[in-house]
Amino acid sequence: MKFTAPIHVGIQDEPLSLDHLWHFLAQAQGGGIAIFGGTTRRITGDRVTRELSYEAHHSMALKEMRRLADEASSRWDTLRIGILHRTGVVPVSDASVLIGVATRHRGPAFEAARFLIDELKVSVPIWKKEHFEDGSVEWQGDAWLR
Amino acid sequence: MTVTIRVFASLREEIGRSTWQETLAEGSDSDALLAALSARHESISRLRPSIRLAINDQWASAAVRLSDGDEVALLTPVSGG
Repeated sequence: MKFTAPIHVGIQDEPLSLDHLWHFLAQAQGGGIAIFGGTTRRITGDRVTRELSYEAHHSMALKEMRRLADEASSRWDTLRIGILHRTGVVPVSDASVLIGVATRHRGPAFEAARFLIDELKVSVPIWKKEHFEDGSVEWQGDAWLR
Repeated sequence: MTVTIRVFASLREEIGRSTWQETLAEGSDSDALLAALSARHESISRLRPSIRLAINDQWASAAVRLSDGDEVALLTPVSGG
């Protein structure tokens, strides 16, 4: 019988908790935990960001996040996977997304985490709006990444 | 038949609402729906090359037959994470 790694996906307005995610992943009692955090970058080229804000097609985003976690679980030897995305305003240096993978050995943790953030950016229906220091505001996403 | 339309982000801001009902002929497909919406909304017409559809929370390919009660989301390029 194939073991299916426990998966937790969530979308919330509140700040994301690294502690909570770590605790969930640590329960796997594996040898490695890899967590990627996507944060609001302050400087991009010559533009200064004041904050980002995110909007989600909630029901579909949760299903897509779970689908990606299921795929990662079948491609790599993972014990637990957690994907958390924040909506609403995300100030500079705050995390908009946390992706965590617990594994027996470290290699698959890095690989699965990389896969999950790359795929999230392509297929999960969430949009970011960039609010710049000069007052200008832009929705990001001119073209599909795939 | 009646389907529910949902829009988000820039498209939601341009149209001024996030969801509404559309009445379609029985047997209509998603291409026909998109054509009807493009004719009525300049923003949908303009953004049409980059709009992808999701039907009942799943990505949809072209010309999917619709059913009464379907929820069709018009999605512009995503930018999560």
